[in-house]
Amino acid sequence: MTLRLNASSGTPLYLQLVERLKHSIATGAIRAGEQLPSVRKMAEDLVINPNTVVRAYRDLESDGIVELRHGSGVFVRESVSARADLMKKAEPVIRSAVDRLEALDLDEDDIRRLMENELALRRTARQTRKRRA
Amino acid sequence: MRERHGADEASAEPLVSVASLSRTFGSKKALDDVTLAVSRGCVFGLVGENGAGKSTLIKHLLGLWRAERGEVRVFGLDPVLEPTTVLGRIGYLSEQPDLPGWMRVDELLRYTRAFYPRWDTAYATQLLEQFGLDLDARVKTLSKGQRARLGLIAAEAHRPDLLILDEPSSGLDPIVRRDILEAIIRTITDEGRTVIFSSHLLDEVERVSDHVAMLHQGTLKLCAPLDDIKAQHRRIVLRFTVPHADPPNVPGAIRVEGAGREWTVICDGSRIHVPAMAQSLGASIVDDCAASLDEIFVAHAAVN
Amino acid sequence: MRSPTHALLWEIWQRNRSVSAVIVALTIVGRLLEPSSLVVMLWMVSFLLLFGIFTHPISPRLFTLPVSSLRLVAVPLLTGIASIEVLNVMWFGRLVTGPTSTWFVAVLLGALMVFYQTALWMLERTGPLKFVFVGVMAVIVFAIGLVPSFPPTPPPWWRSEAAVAALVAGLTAMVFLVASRHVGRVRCGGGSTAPRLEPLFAFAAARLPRTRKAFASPAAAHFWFEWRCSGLVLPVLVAGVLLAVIAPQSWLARDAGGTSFQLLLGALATPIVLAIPVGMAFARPAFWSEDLSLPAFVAVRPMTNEDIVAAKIKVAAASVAISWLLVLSFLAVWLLGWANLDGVGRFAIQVWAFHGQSAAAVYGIAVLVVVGGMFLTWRFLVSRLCGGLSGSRVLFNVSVMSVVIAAIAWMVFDGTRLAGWILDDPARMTALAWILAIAVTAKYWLAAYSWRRVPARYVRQFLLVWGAWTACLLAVAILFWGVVRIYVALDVHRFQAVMILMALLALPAGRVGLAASCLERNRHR
Repeated sequence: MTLRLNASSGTPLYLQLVERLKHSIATGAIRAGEQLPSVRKMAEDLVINPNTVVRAYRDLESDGIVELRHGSGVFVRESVSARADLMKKAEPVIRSAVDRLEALDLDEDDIRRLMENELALRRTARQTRKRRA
Repeated sequence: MRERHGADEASAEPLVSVASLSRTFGSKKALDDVTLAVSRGCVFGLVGENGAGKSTLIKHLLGLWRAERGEVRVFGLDPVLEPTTVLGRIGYLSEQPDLPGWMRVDELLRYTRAFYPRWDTAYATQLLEQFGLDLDARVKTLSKGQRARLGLIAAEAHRPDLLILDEPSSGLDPIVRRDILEAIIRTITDEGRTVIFSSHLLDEVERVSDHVAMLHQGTLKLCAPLDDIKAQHRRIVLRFTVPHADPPNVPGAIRVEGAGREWTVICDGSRIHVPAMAQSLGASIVDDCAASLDEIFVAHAAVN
Repeated sequence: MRSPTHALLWEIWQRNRSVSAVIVALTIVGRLLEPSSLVVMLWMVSFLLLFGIFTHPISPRLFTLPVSSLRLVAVPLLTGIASIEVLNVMWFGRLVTGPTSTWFVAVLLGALMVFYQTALWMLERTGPLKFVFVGVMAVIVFAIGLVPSFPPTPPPWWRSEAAVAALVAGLTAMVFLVASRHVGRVRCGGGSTAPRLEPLFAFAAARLPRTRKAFASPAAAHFWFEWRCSGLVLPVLVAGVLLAVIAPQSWLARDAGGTSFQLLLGALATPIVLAIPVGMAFARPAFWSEDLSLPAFVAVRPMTNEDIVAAKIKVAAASVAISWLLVLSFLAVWLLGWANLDGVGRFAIQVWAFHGQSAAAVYGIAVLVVVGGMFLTWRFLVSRLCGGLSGSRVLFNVSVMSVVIAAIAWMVFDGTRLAGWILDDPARMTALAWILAIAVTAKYWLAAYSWRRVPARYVRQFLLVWGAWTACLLAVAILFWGVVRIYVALDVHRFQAVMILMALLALPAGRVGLAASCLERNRHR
């Protein structure tokens, strides 16, 4: 797998990895039921810390995309195709939201900024909740 | 000595512990009351500008400098009192590997091999082929990058418990730097081995480190897991309606810089509610993302 | 500045104003005083300082100036010749002159200045070793100067002063051209001689059989390392002196028994004397660098300080063994070949007669002298270890300067007179015996204290050496006092005591034990 991760961009490395893996799975480069490379191999290929890979895999597991089978490795869930349908259902929701924002005379950059801001707020809130728990 | 080694493994003591270490060279304070601990199995990144004290700290770990004040323990032992035991488990690559120019590559490896009983000849041969080093070449005819690679083989081939790299990438081309980073990852994926490496190339440190310690003029400004550091520092770009000549007073910010209407703030994102803060100052948030290690470092270095 | 020459001269003058003032002051004082050994010392120092002025290399920044290489070379060389002739003239008449005429000495001095500067320029790359080469070269020039006065006098035409002077002048002119060509080539970036020699050495080195086996132990590996760094220096120097100085003189002296005997003693003394300067470099943690700190490459190895010191000492021993092997093979070839054995024979007969007419005593003494010589050579190689390994520049410089000052004082104040002065009065002998006894006691206390932390196996190895050494030197002392007694009327027993005590003092026991602690302070600063 040839992925290039940029350490100095604003996004943490593990998130970049999660995004790339999700993209590969969604586009079918990695099929359902296939095994993802081991933590060690992934870390050596990408030249990043193995803990980053572990975190990325855990995130994917909590999102329900992969499952960690003890002793065997990390496998893509069979139910991933269900994800693809979910994505299709979400498309019109996004489309109508963007339409409404454009009606308020916001351009592409503003919309993206608002989206990222909102997601960031939710992420921070989630992390705070996790820490308190 | 064997008992101490066993106790060290069993009690999960830190592999390296430095307590209140101070060192002065003449009138200059190279290290000022530095305390840190490196646990087994992590990649510990040491960052700081030139002259911050990184090399001095690393030399204390190797026993090349004696602790003037404070204590240094590596594998639970004092590297000055027991050099053989400690150094036998350490692999060291320095900024300018002072390999004797007259030695050939195979002579250097033969010489180094004699000191480490755990030397893996097959691994060394594999690395030699991978790096493309000629066995009969003399060290003085090798380029800087090749010399660094050779030093890396000599440090790595005996699979040390602790791999110490002191600014290994300075002045080297990206390919050699990648080789060094790969060596770091290879070491860490091997059970129980640890890496300490110092660098002023912060994107490299960000890639591979678990823990980061930041030295500035001999003092330890930060020492925490990298994730925590990244979580605690956010870079927020604020746009004010009114241009400010001086940096606006942003409560809880580590560093504020910019000009006119746009000001960049580095602050602890987990403690400050950013939108509320922006609203109270009368500014809008233009950008809010995680600060890069570079920016965090500059922010802390500027605060005196 | 009116011309480039003027500018270059001005630079030499500016750089050396203070030293020139000292030289002039010394010369004035020397002229005012009555001729004595102090005046001789001043003379030597002023000449040494003058050579020191012209030790400066041609700095590369001059290469970019619009000046020809010939001029760059000629200015320092001609200035050197001029200054040394001026100094020679100023000291003229203040010293006892030998059979050599003054103009001959002037020619030799001028030639020496040219050879000296050229050698320093051409041997830039060899680092501190160039001074050793220069020293050997000075000895050769001195030997050439002695050639006309060699027996039998008056010398034949080809050995007369005029002929030798002409030869030397011709050599000087050639060397001048060589220097100018060399500087010209260095200016253009190295030139063609470098590539022509390097591949040859590389070719030869590649053809040598090289083992790729692993080392048996860390000690063996570090021994190999130290050997490659510095092991062959003493043997090469000894070979150089033997071939360049002793061998030709031995050929010329093949009719003179007395001179042959002196040359034999000289050949035996060569490794011992050469071991003194080599020992100063040997004492440093890195033989070839001026820096006294232990190189990180060695300091990071899992070795104890005692291992490092032991490796150095063993390399010194191997170095001494090879040097003496060279000396003995040369002596074998010489003595069995063209040597005049009159003087040797006379001495041997005296010893034979004294020791109850036994031939075994003669051969025994010969063997003991060789073994004693080996020990002395090794001692000089190893004795500065404490100062050098400590990493303190002050300690090292004091250690080196003490030897230099002692050597100069011995030469100038005629050390042999000291021996006579002591031997005259028995009370002085007694005092000396007491002083030596206290020194020996203190030395062995220090040795016992400093060896407390050295591991047992090194102590065992050193005790062997210690025992053999002491036995050998004691035997030499005892065997020799009997012969010396014939020549000097003195109190036998006290003299014997003094000689035995001096033999005991020669072993560097304390210093070797302390070396490991000194190194520890250097390794962990």
